[in-house]
Amino acid sequence: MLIELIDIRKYYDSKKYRVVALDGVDLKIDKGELLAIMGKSGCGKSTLLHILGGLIGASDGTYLYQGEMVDFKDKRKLAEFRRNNVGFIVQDFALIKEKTIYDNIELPLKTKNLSKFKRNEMVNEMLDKVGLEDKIWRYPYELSGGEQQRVAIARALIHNPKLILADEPTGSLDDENQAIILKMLKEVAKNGTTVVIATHDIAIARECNRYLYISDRKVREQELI
Amino acid sequence: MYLWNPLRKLKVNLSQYLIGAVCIITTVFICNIVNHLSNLYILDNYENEALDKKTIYFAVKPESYVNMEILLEENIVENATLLLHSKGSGLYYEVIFTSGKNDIFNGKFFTKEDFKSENRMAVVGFETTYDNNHIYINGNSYTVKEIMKENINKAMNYSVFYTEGRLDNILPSSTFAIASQSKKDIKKTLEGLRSQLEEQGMKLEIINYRKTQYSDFIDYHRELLIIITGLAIILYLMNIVSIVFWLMSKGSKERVWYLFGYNHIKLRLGLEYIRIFIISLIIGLVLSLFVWNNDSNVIYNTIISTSIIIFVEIASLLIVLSVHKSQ
Repeated sequence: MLIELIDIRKYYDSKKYRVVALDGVDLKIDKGELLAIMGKSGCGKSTLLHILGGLIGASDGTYLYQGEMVDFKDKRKLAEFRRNNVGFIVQDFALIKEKTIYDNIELPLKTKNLSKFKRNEMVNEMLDKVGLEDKIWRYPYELSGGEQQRVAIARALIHNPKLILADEPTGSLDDENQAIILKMLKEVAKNGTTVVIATHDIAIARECNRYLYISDRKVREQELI
Repeated sequence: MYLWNPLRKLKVNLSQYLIGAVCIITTVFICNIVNHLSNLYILDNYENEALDKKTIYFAVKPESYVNMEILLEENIVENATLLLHSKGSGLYYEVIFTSGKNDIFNGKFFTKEDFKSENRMAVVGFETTYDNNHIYINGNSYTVKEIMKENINKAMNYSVFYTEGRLDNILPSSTFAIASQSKKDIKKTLEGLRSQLEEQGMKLEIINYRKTQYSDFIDYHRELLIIITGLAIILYLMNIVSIVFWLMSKGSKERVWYLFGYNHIKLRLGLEYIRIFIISLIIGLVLSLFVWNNDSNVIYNTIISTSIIIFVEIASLLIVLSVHKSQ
């Protein structure tokens, strides 16, 4: 098992009231699983994804990653956790506009102790995989949406994370590009990387091994019809 | 096929170029202001430039005619020069008496006899213009006795030291000055004069002339300084606004850094800004150096300007970063 969440709660306190985003989430995710998390807007999909990725801490509960507890209080350790274990794909691609495609993909490798030569080799290999080898020195604004998302996938995979978290990865893409991206994510899961996709699109959920639904701030397992 | 186009980079780094332009404008502005104020200050206080910082200024109270013939008999002024220093008299110095080894004026100077000869005489700087061995001061003609050697102090090269040739009738309506190479000799002369004047029923009061120079300068140029302060405030705010916009443009980068576990994100942003700032500072200084024509103060002005610019930019950056909420 890669991930185990035990009674995870997340709330946001203001002076007057408390907003509960997640209320007692128990969840187990295996290695190499392709998992979809569904739910209405504002139900807590992204919050759960952010907790899984160590972007935010849970207010209560335990997060076990490969059997070890993730310490939400230590920001440095959380950054290290993200650096070593997680790759992120988001709806708006989150590419750095003033960097070339090469630089964008290389970014997660810069925190590793790798030579420039090795990094160059890895980026070129990844660009081959996503079919963008001819766009290496382009800037993000010079690519289509589908191509930008492929760059984001390449960047998420470049440092070989065990967990890929995708927040509405096909939300801003047409059907053709949506299919390409899904195919790529399935391929990634097949190679042993766990992929968790937050989506409100049932068609995407159907492509996954498992499908969870968040309602009333709790996670419920759903059977696909 | 991919075609290289230099405008691509310009387009994606626009915020960087904008902030660089603001830094360059700040640099050029501050350099020119420092240079202008420095020139104004020198011009206002040019007379002091011929005398060095060791010079002591004093007034004699009550203000009445003073008989200084006593200076001829006793060694009160030894290895020093006693002058009358009048504000606004430019580079014209009336020498009351000078005696002993006194090389501040670099060369031959007046003798003891000149001060009682009742002849108007002058010793002029290397660059001073005069006619037919005579120079005119306040409508009076003075015989040019000597020309000083070229001096590294520019003011000295245009200075005129003159004597009325009489010691018995000096009206101390202006400030006296004692100049010498040696502080010890200045002090000794001062004490000697003090006791002599006290014997004549007069009092010697030391004037911190250099201290009043700054307040005088502010008084003379109040309006200009207000305008400069206003412009400086606008420029400072412009810097803060440009850094805020630049930080906003870095939002996506900051987010990606955070997603992929980068540490010290604010520090990274700060260093990125400092890199742009250093390049802009160099460009700004080079541009300013082209404009400056006052070669004697370039190094001093550059150091002052650079210090102010670094302070302004780093202070702006720290203020913005301290209120900036990272991911």
